[in-house]
Amino acid sequence: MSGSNRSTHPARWVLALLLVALSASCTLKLVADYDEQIDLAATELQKGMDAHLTKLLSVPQAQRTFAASESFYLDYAVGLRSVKIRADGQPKNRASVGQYDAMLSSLETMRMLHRSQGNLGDGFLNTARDEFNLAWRAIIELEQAKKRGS
Amino acid sequence: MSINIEKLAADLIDAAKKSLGTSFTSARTVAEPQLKALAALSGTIAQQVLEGELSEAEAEALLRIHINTTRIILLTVEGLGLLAVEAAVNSVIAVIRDTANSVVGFPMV
Repeated sequence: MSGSNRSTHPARWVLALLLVALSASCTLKLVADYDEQIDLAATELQKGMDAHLTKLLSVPQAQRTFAASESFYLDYAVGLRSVKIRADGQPKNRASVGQYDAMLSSLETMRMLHRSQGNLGDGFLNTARDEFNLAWRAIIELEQAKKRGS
Repeated sequence: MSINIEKLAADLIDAAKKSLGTSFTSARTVAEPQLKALAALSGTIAQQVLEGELSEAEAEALLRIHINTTRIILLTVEGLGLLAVEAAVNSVIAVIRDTANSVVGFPMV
């Protein structure tokens, strides 16, 4: 009996060490960690765009000049790039970085339209507001999922 | 001719399922409402064009923005799928650690 105990103890230790080595080296990380600053920034940017488009809708079309909105576009782009840079600093954050790139592209599309057309119609503004809100919802949901871990 | 929103939503969901595979399955509860909202916006844009509510330039711009919104949603779906895989694999690893600890009889890890 004591002989068989002596022969199993080393085997148990070898097995345990193998399992430890396996588990210690194999924690999987496929997505970046949650970043509260990115989460808060995304919410602020969502509110900022919604507020701007809502204000434009509240005035007659003739008053929706590009000149009146130009600083908004510039400041908003700075905000987007700032959060994109923070997201890019995290490993495994390709999806979020891609989302901010797409947001910058949408902003630039709207800016170029506004500049060339001079003002923006109700139809465009209402739908654009829905588009930006839907996009922000998706971005914020991904960030919240990182917080939950799922 | 108007767009059949329900059919478009179903087609978008099918397309996402086929291209994203298990990522979509894991993220389904989040993905489906977003893809349905995307389909609704496609219908809105089409209707606005038909009814002359958008200039040609506005319609083009909205379409480009819509494509970006689609991209953003699919990236969320992909991210949620990866998080689900990560959680599943790490829970298995936790079982391995617990097994290791039970083999040696004390919490080695």
